[in-house]
Amino acid sequence: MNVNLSTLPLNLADDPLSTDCYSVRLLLEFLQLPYQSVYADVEQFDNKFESPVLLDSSSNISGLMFIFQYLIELTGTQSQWIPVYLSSQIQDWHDFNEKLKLSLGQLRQASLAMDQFLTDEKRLFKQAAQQLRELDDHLCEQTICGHRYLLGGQLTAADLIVFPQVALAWDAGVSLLPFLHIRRWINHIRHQPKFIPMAGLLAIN
Amino acid sequence: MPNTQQYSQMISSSLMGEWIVVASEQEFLQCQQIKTCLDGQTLNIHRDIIDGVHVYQVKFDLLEADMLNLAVQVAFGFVWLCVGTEKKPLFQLDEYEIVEARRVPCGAYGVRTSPLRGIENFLDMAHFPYVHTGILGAEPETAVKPYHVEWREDVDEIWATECFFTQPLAAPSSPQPQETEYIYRVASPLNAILYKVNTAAKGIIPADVVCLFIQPLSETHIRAHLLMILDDQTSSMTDMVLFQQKIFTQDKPILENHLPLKLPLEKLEIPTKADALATAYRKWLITKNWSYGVHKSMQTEQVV
Amino acid sequence: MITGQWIPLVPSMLIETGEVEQVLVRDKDVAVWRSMQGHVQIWENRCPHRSVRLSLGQVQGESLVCAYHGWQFAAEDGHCQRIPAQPEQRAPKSVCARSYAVMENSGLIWYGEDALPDIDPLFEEIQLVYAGSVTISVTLSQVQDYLLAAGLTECAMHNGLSWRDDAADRTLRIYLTPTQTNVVTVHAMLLQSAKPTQCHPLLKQMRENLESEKLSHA
Repeated sequence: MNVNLSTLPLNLADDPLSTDCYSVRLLLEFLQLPYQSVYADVEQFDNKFESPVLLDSSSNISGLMFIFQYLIELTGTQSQWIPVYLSSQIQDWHDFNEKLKLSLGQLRQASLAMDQFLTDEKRLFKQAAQQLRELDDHLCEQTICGHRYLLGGQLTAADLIVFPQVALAWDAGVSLLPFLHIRRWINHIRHQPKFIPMAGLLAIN
Repeated sequence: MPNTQQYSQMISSSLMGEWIVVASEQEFLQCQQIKTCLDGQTLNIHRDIIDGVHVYQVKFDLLEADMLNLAVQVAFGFVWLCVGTEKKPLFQLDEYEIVEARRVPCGAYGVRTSPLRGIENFLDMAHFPYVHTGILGAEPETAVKPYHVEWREDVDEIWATECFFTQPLAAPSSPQPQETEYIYRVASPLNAILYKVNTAAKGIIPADVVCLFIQPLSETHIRAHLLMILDDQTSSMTDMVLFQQKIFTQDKPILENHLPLKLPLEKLEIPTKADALATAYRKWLITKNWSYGVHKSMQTEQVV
Repeated sequence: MITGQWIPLVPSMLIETGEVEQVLVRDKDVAVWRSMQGHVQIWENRCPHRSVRLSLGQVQGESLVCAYHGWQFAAEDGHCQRIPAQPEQRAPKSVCARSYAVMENSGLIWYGEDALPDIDPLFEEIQLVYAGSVTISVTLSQVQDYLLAAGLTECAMHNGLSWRDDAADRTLRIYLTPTQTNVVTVHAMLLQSAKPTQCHPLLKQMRENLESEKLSHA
């Protein structure tokens, strides 16, 4: 592993309730990279605290895909996490996650503290259900081919990017009951040895 | 379809006369008006400053204000509402008044469960090694020693004392598991307080306090408000809030997966000696004829 | 004597060793799990302690452990083996998880509810390969009508829940799980493992047809 030791431990601008931050923490755990989280000050309301961001003396790295690429390059594990022949599909799944933020993400944000009233809930629920169905169908097809994850038999960046929002669908009030293949995929990821939970997700003991 | 308005049935009879949190004062730091919900009814809360004091006005969207006897008070950093004649005055929380103690409001959390399940979970220690692994409990120290439960009739509160549980990281400085002493206090069906007894020789308060005040949005959806009052003078507010948030959100998936979500007061579930406090809580609810968030045996809940 | 029916619940390969999943059948919430020695169980998805779903729990050897308080239940009959909050005491005999009749046959896990159905002598064991599932929000009879119109034949003695298509190029079996009153889960299994991927698009088409038909009648 050709990691530049002077960069460790990494500093991450972090938010325990953010799904993107969770994606980064999952990757950090799987890569076994030591890191320290820096959180927004609960007493400051005006400061815009951006997360996830990799904080570095020279330059900060923000944007989920950029953070992922940086960490994967740092550890030289591209062939495992973002193999060249899958890179465009991984980008597609990243885009899918961005679309989910507009439906599931909105619903979840409003539900976390129950302090927001959404005017177009019905439409968002319908959209979320449609997107989850697409995901379930894809995972079903993967299962038929004998694969457990989004892009084959091994975890890739795609899984870690999409997992948080989907696993926390009930936070948003969207049930995963109709989606057996999504639920199995979630359980497979949760049972990975280096898995860590986040707020609202049950740990495996 | 005609718009029928049955004022007397709009707030469940169990909730009438109860002091219920409807907002945290923190929610007004950046606005003067918020919208929230109580038992399916939309509420508008408006804050004014009169003679330098914050005054809160609570109005229901659909119900005529003069049809209901509404009382509002501010206590412990929260806005409390009582619909109808109060069953009893709001409970006391002495530690809140101690100047040097650290008051840490920890936010509100939406949870899709019955308010009664929320309270019962808060009163339970047996789940520490399984849900809060490595923090509040760990194998093999899973035993819940017998503790004392009583109904203090003068204040109509349930108290559990001499509750001991072995915890792995009672203090960051001590790697050995330590026995922590808890005292539990159920001030009303929707409000519970726990005291974590301080073992340090010097303390500003004899016990750290954690409060759970439940705002029922419906019988199976709540807003859980958390407050801590701590002895700790050194930890940052952020660290303390995030710690409590971590603990609470670990309980969330369990709370949302009871089947039924509502609490059964008849013999559907099997308690053990460790559940003495929960059993007392359920008996107390029965004596009050409490029905809100209670499972009735002929009901089947919507699975999805 | 009443012979109960066996209901196809979920393809065997979807419940791996050590896996536990929540499944709905006839509006009933069940936990389906496979012990480390490979034995499948179908239990009421409810721990007798505080009614938390057992599908959140963990398989440990030949037991399922509840996620809430660590109560441990034995695969053989659901009896409680351990209550961690009272480690010195034996769990009372009356405390158990409610188990249902279960059978594995032809690559599927079958649910027998309470009555142990007779095993149909015609219920031969065939080698089938999983070819996909879809969940459709329509009634069971609507799905059955569709399959009939598509030229499939009902398999005898299976109460309209098993269907076959013996066309020359594929030997397709369709199994129906009555998930809820208005929700059916359709599983496709193939005799030849040649192209199991071709079935799922057909299932998706079926789902689309049935659901848009429902919308046009609304």
